[in-house]
Amino acid sequence: MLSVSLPTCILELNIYFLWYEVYVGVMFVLHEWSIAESIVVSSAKIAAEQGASKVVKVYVKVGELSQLELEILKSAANELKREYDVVRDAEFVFEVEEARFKCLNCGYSWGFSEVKRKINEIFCGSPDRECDNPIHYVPDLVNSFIRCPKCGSPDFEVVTGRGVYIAKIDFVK
Amino acid sequence: MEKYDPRDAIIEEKFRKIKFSVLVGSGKGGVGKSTIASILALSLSRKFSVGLLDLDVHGPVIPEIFGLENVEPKESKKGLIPPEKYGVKVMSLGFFTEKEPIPMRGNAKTDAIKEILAITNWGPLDFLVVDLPPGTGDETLTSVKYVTNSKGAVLVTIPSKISLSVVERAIRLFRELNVSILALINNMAYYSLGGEKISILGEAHVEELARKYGIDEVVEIPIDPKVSKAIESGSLELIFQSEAYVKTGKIVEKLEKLVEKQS
Ligand SMILES: Nc1ncnc2c1ncn2[C@@H]1O[C@H](COP(=O)(O)OP(=O)(O)OP(=O)(O)O)[C@@H](O)[C@H]1O
Ligand SMILES: [Mg+2]
Ligand SMILES: [Zn+2]
Repeated sequence: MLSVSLPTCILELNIYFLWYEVYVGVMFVLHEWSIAESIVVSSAKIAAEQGASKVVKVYVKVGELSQLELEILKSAANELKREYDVVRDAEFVFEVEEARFKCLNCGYSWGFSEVKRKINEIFCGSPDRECDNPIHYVPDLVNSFIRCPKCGSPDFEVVTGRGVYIAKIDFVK
Repeated sequence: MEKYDPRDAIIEEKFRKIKFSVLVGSGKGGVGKSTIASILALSLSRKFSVGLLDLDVHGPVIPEIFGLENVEPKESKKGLIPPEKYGVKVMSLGFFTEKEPIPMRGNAKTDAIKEILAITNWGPLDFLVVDLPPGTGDETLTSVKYVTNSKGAVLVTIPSKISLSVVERAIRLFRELNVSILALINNMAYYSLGGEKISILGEAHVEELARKYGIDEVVEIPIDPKVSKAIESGSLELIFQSEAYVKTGKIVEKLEKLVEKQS
């Protein structure tokens, strides 16, 4: 590598970083596909149980803590729904559910913004940079990495906004 | 309509592609559950496609036993792909944490286990071996509830009265939950010294307990430095030279017949 001139070197590095970002970007969104699949499969199953002929609208709540990308969930659901007749014309509506935490030691209650900055700091090197992290996959691991902002206890619970659930389904019999 | 958890349906779908699940439990801690689960997974992988699921959420050690400490599961559109070694696909909360404590109360624990079951992309498997933690709480109950395919339990004890009394409660729980007990393992039963069997941890009547509950397979495994070395060194293949491997062969044969009957 000694023979490579400096500008070429920088160019190569840039290309490397570009690829790295594309790669990490793609990796980061695949998880949304598997979550979307569970929503589509569940909607089809609920429809069958309820004797529905057609699902019209599925309302999905997405807990902030799971850090899932709503746009990707939506496009994945729109593609995956084609495999199931009862949901193929359904509209999937994704809405964020605010995350709240409550300390079981001191009773303090707090929201996601503080937690998010801490997650970014631990896993992405800066409070303002987002990246892949374990809590995205298993939100319950939040207690491994975050502490109560008031008393420092790891013994807190996620009151709302943990993960994904189907809040309501509109269908025709 | 009530809130609906989308993980339920996807877990069911995933387990439809897994022929048989083996829950390795005990009730008692430190008796060799993770060791036995690893040996069974390794033995089965010689002929079958096998997954090993570490449900010890507070103290996951399977990645260490398999020498997979610095490995991360890869993402795919169908969920996380479990890292593979010795032909065994491995999943554990250990892959998501380093040395951090994993404090979780009941509901969070159930959620974490459901999440892992829902997001792991095992693909089709002949066997899923599940390493349970000590106790008969959330992990045991959640796995019995959500591991929806055909399943059986392998219970592990040491030859002490105290261990047997805890294991008896576990036996009764599994029976009530309609999980058949395929075998009772008397681990660290004795130490062989110059051809003589020396009792170290006790001489409790494991056979008797098995008979009382109609468990037809009891396997005695000695205290064996080859086993601890294989488990501790990250070179699990050393297990093939141990008596433990030979003796668990009976359980492997039994499992083989169970999946053959299915297909
Ligand atoms: N037959 C054996 N001979 C020698 N050492 C053994 C044997 N069985 C298990 N061990 C050792 O005993 C220790 C405990 O085993 P293991 O971790 O499998 O127990 P466990 O029941 O899974 O524990 P826990 O309840 O914490 O999950 C390990 O260090 C292992 O190497
Ligand atoms: Mg263990
Ligand atoms: Zn507090």
